[in-house]
Amino acid sequence: MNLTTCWWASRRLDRYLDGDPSAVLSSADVRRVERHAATCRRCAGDLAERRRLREALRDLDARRITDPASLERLDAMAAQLRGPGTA
Amino acid sequence: MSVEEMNPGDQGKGRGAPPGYPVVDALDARDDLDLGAARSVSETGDVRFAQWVEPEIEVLLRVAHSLTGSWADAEDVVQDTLIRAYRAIDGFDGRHPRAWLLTILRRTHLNSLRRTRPDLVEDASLERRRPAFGRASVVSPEDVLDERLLDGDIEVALQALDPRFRTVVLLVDVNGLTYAEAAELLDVPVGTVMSRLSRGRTRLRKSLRSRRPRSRRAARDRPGATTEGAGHRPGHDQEEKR
Repeated sequence: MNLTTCWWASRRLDRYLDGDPSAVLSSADVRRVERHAATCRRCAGDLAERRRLREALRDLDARRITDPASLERLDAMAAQLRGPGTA
Repeated sequence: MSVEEMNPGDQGKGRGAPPGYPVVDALDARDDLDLGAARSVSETGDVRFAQWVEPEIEVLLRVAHSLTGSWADAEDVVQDTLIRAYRAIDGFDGRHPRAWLLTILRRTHLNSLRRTRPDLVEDASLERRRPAFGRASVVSPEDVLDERLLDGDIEVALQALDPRFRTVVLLVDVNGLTYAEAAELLDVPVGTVMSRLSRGRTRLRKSLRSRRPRSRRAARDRPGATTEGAGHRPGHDQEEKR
């Protein structure tokens, strides 16, 4: 196990999973993270844990049902603002 | 400068906003938000409003809920946001409508807070403390989160987070905003969003690990259980100590 690579990879796991346009990892970094996670049990576990947390949080959004009446009121208000027949 | 006077050249100068993102500095304390006062928009503006704004209403409502913690308050904030967006639609060039709306939402929410909870408006930067390399605790593979995270546990862990971390986790991980959108909404640099997100996630993971079923912990802790890897990654959990 290469401690330097562990430290390096651990600081990039979130960016690796997020793939956010503001903080994209280079393709070389992506390959390095993946190569390391394939051989390092701890980093693989770390990655899996982060992935599970992300999935659980996304599920939370799906379960937080917005009140249909609230959405209807807002849609109606938007339609009233722009006037009928515009959509 | 009023919102209506703002031109596309004024866009993209926001703190933490990528090029092309809107700046809506003019959307400050204008509280004469009634529907009648908003009716000075062109017919093209009406079409744009339907095309760019209305599809985002549900996202706005979810984001407002993350900010306010209440569906009723969220609806109020989104109502005001829609009125402000409608007034400003003729001056908006259509690039990044969600980011534009989030900026308006943020201003609207801040105005609302200034009226009702001025003590919450201040957002002092968090103290940055980084541990020395090698001083972080070691986490064993058995410490990773259970396969199935319970909804209740996540909610409790989220509520226990510092509000600054919780808000960013809610916006990015729950609502699905990009770093830049969250930065725009919170009026902080993208780097601050990333830092808070990292800390918030780390604390969530730590909190959820401690809520694992007792049986698993007991199995791990019994004599002879593996301690493989102790001390193997000195820098690996630096975030844990932040």
